[in-house]
Amino acid sequence: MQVYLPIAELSVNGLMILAMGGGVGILSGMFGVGGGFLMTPLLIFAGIPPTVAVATEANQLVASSLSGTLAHWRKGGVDVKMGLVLLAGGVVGSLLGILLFGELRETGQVDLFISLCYVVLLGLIGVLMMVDSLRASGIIGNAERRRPRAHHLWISGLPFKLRFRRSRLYISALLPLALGCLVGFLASIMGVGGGFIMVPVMIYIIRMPTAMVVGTSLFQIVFVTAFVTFLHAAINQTVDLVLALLLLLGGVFGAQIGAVYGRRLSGESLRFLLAGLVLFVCLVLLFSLVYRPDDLFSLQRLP
Amino acid sequence: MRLFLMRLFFLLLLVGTAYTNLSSKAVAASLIADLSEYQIRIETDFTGARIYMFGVIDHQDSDARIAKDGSIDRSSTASAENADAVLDVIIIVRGPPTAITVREKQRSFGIWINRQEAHYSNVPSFYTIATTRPFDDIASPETFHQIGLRIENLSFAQSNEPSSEPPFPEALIRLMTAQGLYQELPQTITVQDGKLFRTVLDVGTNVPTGRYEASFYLFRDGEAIVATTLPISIEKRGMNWQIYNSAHQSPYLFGLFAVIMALSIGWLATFIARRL
Repeated sequence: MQVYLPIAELSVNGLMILAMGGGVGILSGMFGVGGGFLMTPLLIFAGIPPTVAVATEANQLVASSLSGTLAHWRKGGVDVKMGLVLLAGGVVGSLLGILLFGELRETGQVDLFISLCYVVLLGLIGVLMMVDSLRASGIIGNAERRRPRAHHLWISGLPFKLRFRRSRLYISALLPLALGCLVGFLASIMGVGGGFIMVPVMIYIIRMPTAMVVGTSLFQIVFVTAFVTFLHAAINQTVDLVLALLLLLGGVFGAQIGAVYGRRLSGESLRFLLAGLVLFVCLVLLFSLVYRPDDLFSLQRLP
Repeated sequence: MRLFLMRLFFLLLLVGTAYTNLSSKAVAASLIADLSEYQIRIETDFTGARIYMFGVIDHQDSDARIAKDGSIDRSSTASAENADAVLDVIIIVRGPPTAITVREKQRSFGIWINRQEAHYSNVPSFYTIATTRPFDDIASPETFHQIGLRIENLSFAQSNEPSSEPPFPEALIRLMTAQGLYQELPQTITVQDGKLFRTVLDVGTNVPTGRYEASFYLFRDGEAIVATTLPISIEKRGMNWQIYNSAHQSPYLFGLFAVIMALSIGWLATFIARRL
C-alpha cells in the first residue's frame, strides 16, 4: 500500500511505516524509553530525508509523551514546578537548536551533523544499556549501590535556589534549566525526546524521588517537542503531515500493546536485545559515514 | 480585385501553415502530434504515471517514409532532391527550470564530508529524449549541438564563483540520470505504415511538479524541418496539494495543526485505553 508523502516528496510503503511506528511504540511502552532515538534513524534508513525525519518524529513524540504524562499524572508522579523550570530551559535550547539547524541546512552539512550526533548518542546509550542489562542479570558488577543522601558539594553551592515541594528538594534552578536546555537542543537537532538523558540526571544529580522522575520528564517532553514541531514547520517546512499521521497511529497503538505486555515479558534478555539493537543502529550509521560513498557528488534541489 | 484578394488570402494561408517549418529547403512534410494525458495529478496513492505520445507525419512527398528499425527505405531511384528522403521523429519532454546545488565530498578525519559546491540556477528538472533511430543515424552531433538537443548539449550556468577543479556539470547530469530524471531513449518511437508514430513516457514518483513541454521534431536528411510543442502539467492534487500548499503558505498554522493533531491522538489513545 504505497502512500505519497507531500512534504518529503516521495512514496513509501504505508504498512511498513505503521509497523515501524508500532514496533518502536511497543518498545517504548515496555521500557519507557526508545521513542525518538530509535525511530528517527529508522526513518532515515527507510529513505526519508533526515530533515523531514527529525521534524516529523518530534511531532510523534508529542503524542506518545502526552499518553505517558497523563498516566503518571493520575498517580501523582509529576512535579509541575520542576517541569516548568525544565521547560523554560527547553524552550531556550530548542531555539538554539533550530538556529543551528538552519545554519547547517545552508551549508549542506545537516545530514552529516545529524548522523554524527546519532553515532555518539546511540553509542553512549547502547553501551550504558548493555552494561546495565548485564549488571541486572548478574553477569558483571554487583547489585545497586546505595545512593548517598546528600548532594555533591558543588551543587549545594549553586545560586538561585528554589523550593520544589513535590520532590522535597531545595536546589538551584540552574541545574534543571541547564538540563532542559540541553534536552531541548537535542530535540530540535535530532528529533528525540531526551528522556534518556533527563531521567539519569534527575535521579543521580538532582536527586529527585524516583517516582517523580519519569512523569516530570515526560511532562517537559510534551511541551518541548510540541514547540520543536511548531518551529520546524514554521521555519523549515519539514514536518510531513501524512508521515506524522502514520507514525502517530502506529506509535500509540504499539505503546498500548507494549505497556500491557511489558509487565509480563520485560526480562533481562529483552533489555539485552534492546541494547544490542541500539548499538547495531549506531554501527550502521557510523559505517555509512566512513564507507566511501558510491558517488562523491550529491545534489540538493532548492525550493 | 476579387481575384487579387483570393490570391492574397491563399498566400497568407500558405504562409500561415508553413510557420513551423525550420528548414530553408522546400518543405514536403508536416507533423501532427497529440498526448494521451495533458495533466498528471499526484494523488495519495501515486506510484508513477504514463503518457502516450503519438502523431502523424503528413508527407506530401510520397517517397519519403519514416524509417523503421534502422533500415533506410529507398523506394525509388529518382533525383537526390526528394527521393530517399528519410524522415525521423525526435520527442523531447522538458520539465520546469529549477535551482540545484551540487556538492562534492572529501575525506576529513576519517569520514566523508561535503566540501566544495556549485550552484546552478536554471537547470531543467526533467529531460527525456526519444527517437525513431539511433542518434548518429539521424543527424550529426554538431546539428544537435546547434539546436540544443540531447543531454550533453544542456548548458548549465553556474551562479556561484566557478571552481574549476571538480567536474560539477558532469556530476549534475550523472546524478539526475541516476534519479531517472534525465533519460536518452533512442529507437523507442515505433512507427506504423510510415505515417503513425507512437511512444510512451513513464515518470516515477520523484517527478518534479510544474509545467512541462513535449517538443516533437521532424528530421529529414540530418536537419530539423518541422517542430511543434505541447504542454504537460504535473501537479499535486487533492489532499497532497492542500498539505504541501498550507505547509509553505501558512507555516505557523500548519505547525499548530500538527501539534494539535498529535495532542488529540495522544489523548484519544489514553482515553480509549482506559475504557478497554
